Amino acid sequence: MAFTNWDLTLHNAYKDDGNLEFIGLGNLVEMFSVGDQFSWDAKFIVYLGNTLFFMLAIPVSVLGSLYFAMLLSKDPRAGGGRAMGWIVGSLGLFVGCVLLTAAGLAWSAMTVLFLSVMGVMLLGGSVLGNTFYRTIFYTPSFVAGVPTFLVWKKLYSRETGPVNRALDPALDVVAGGVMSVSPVLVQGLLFVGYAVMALLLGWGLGKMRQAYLDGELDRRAAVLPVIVLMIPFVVASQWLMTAATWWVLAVMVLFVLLYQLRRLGSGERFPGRRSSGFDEALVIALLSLVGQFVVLGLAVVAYRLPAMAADGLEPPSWLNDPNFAKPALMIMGLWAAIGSNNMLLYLAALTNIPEDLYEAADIDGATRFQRFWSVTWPQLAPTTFFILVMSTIAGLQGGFEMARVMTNGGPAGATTTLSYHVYEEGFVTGRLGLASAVAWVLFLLVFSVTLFNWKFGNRYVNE
Amino acid sequence: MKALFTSILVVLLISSAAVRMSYPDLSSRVPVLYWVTDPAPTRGEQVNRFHRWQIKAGHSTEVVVTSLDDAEALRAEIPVTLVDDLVAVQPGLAGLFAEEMDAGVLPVTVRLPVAEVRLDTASRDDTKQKIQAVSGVAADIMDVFNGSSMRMFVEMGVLLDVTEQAKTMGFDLSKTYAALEPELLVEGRQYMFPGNVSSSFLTVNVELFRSLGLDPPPERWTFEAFERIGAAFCDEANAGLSRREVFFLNKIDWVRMHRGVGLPRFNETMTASVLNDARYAESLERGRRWMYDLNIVPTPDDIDAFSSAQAYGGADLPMFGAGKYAMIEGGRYWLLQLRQFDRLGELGFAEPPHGGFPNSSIGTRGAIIYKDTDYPELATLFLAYLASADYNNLIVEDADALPPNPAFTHIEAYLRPEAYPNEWGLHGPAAKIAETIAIGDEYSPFVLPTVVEREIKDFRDRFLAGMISAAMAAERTEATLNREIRKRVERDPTVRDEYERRLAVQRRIDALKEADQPIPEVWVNNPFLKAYYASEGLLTAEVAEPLASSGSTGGGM
Repeated sequence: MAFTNWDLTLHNAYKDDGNLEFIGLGNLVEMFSVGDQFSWDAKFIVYLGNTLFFMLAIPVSVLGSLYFAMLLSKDPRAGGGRAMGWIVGSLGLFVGCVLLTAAGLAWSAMTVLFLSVMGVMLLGGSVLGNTFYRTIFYTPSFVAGVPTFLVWKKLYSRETGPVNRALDPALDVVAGGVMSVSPVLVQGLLFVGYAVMALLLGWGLGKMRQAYLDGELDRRAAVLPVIVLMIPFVVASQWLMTAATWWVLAVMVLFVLLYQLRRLGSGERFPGRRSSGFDEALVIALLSLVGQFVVLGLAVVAYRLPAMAADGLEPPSWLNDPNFAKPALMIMGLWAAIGSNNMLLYLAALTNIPEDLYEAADIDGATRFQRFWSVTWPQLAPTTFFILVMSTIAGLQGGFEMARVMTNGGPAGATTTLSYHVYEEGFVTGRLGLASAVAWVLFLLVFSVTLFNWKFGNRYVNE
Repeated sequence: MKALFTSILVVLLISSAAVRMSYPDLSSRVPVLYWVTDPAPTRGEQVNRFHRWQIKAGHSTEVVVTSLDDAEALRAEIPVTLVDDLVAVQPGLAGLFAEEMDAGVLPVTVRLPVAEVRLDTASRDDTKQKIQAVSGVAADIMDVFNGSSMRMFVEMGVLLDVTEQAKTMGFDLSKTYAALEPELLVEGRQYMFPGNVSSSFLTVNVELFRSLGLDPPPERWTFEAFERIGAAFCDEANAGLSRREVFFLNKIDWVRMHRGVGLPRFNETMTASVLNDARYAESLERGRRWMYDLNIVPTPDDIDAFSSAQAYGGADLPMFGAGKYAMIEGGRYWLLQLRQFDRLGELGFAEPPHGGFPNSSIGTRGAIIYKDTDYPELATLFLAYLASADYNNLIVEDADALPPNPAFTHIEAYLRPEAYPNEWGLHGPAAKIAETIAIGDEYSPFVLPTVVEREIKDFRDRFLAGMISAAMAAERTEATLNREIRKRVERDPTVRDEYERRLAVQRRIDALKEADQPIPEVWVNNPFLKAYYASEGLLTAEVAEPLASSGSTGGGM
């Protein structure tokens, strides 16, 4: 099907004059072309980019699920002092939100509803304990998608949504603060961001270097993860926002590379298996990549803040601005994903961690963070791996319902995902051959992730 | 656990059986046609009148009931959905179909319609209809909006060609508006007949203007006048408000923006797009100015704010009814719902603004027939009903857009409905423009309308989002559409000959234009250009040189 010119207007049970023709890779070529030439503006590439952008939220959602799972594994009612702390914290947060909203000098029914629900959630959990919180956090998973999307659409309304009503006074404060400081100092945050990016790169490379020296990472297995680590750096060199100052980042990265190479050369490598450690290295690389991109984005925002603040900082048009539509849907997706099955899986995994490991760590005088990093995190590795793989598959396949209800794939195609693209090509225009080709590419992406899971996931479980 | 599951299974089975037995018996003695349409409240009455019309028009069969047994059998075979219609035109049957049958009416002759129509409003979705059609399970009669939807079905080969039946049964183009030719016909063949007709105009809230001390807009006006009056209105209406809440118009008619300055989408022969034109770029800039600079038309953010702040679902009509829009763009079909508003004042009429060439659009919610219907003759009878006086009078009464037959727009019941004096200024002009300045859409036989709409919208959205300039949007739109045409011609050998022929005609037209010579009307396929050239005196009925084959002069595909 994907290698034919199948078109509902030419080939169906009611058409006698059309012959299905084998066109080889014609559909695949068309996917990557505008007209007769390859173009980065080809719809498939743009929509694949949208899909991958949404998938940047996966590490955040996974870590968020873990955080809330760990949080919810403790009983907030335990101990009077702790319960009082919960209540005070809840009240403080609630009052803070009320003050922020009141500063907007306007109320709407949605705002009142939003604050009321949040108050019930925060205070009710302190009284009813974990069961209430676990139920609340899992709610997004079983609430019907369409009503949820409609509610979020109202939350995001630029003029009257509670999100912007809360942001407006906050942005005024930020604008005032930025204007009261020398622009040079604020813009200097760009280079602080560059430094953080370099540190994240160094962290990733350091982990790989240590794994290599410990014999847990083979040289060939490290090639792709290292390439992944360098992607933000390459993007920064090409991005219009950072091309002029990219040389500063280049110098920092060069120092990091030299440092890592020196450390690599000064150590002795423990013998290890060939082509081993690829999976863990890739996960580290992806985590570092996301962190670098986030920092890069924030750094650029900081650099442009003085100019933006001079004109007054306005809350964005979340769903109608191509630059904000994807983050808006991503945030909504995070809200649904953090409390989803991922959290349940982590909750189950946390209860299966042997207590004697924690006791041994306590005997060794481990800190809270060391307990997490040395005991909890490694024990959760199989679960984390499974969740990452399944989230990646869901990310590649997802986005259709959300885009269709909230943005219709817009504005200007900014939220069209591959699955939505398949629907549009196949059933709106009838080009089933092209739609099949896109679907096959999507399948190959999913299959490669599945293959990755099959090859490396079992090893984790066995270990 | 086994006992539990078994118990649940038994309960489910019993419940299912009970639900099934509670279904009313809808089997019918007469053939049943299913009509996929939208869930407008008037649809039920339209079906009822079809049943009654059949009996009055003689499209019926007679059954003589002489005994109680025959009467009981007939009652069992006539679904409850049909009984009321039978009694309505045959009052003597009331006793026969009463809850307690009156044996005194026997013997009696019952006239049954030859077909029963039932509504299916759950399948009213273009995509669903397409899939059902190519899968062989589509409804007998389907409603579509305009020729753009119909043509996809035609291209898939799933529609019944009703050209001959239309001539013999009285529902051809001569029974409706001439401007609808491109919406009903494809290369001269008819596949659809209107259920209603819509001419695009602006419905004016006259009371709102007067309450602000302003005069309502003129019936015909230019883009400049629209901007001036709109800006003045919005300034007055939003005085003292922290946020703009009242707008001049609910949305922009983008097609009117470039047609108003004489620019179509396609060339004369529909073989190429012509949107890479400064006038198209200017039309995009004008639209953006109205939305984002003058803000006399709401932006997407403004529309989202309506949904939140006003507790409406974002619908245009409630906003218009609440005085948030001075005017609402659309057709007479708005009245179907506007009549439900209380305290709605006088309504006025205004044509879409223009840039030198006054024009409007004409569209239709039309009925198409599935090729594989079990009852093609009966389905075409439904189309004949749409052209009947009974149906047209119903459209007039309900104000469900314009009646399919323009003759019914000249009667008193249409022009001045007794119960709605606030609308009297609206009905006459709405029908008049449908027969004068309204022009059907442009459909090239070499590219699907859905593809055209998608690409135009895509680049327009990019422009509105600030991603590309207006000039770039114009350039890319034309390039993309022309690329789609070439791809279609390459893929579909059945259109190549026609494409080559039209290219030859286009070259001759271009030569005539270059020489400032009039163009033979028979050569122009584009309905917009045909109307535009006629108004500019650029058409001639004579053919400069004989052609091997002039082909169809229809409105396109």
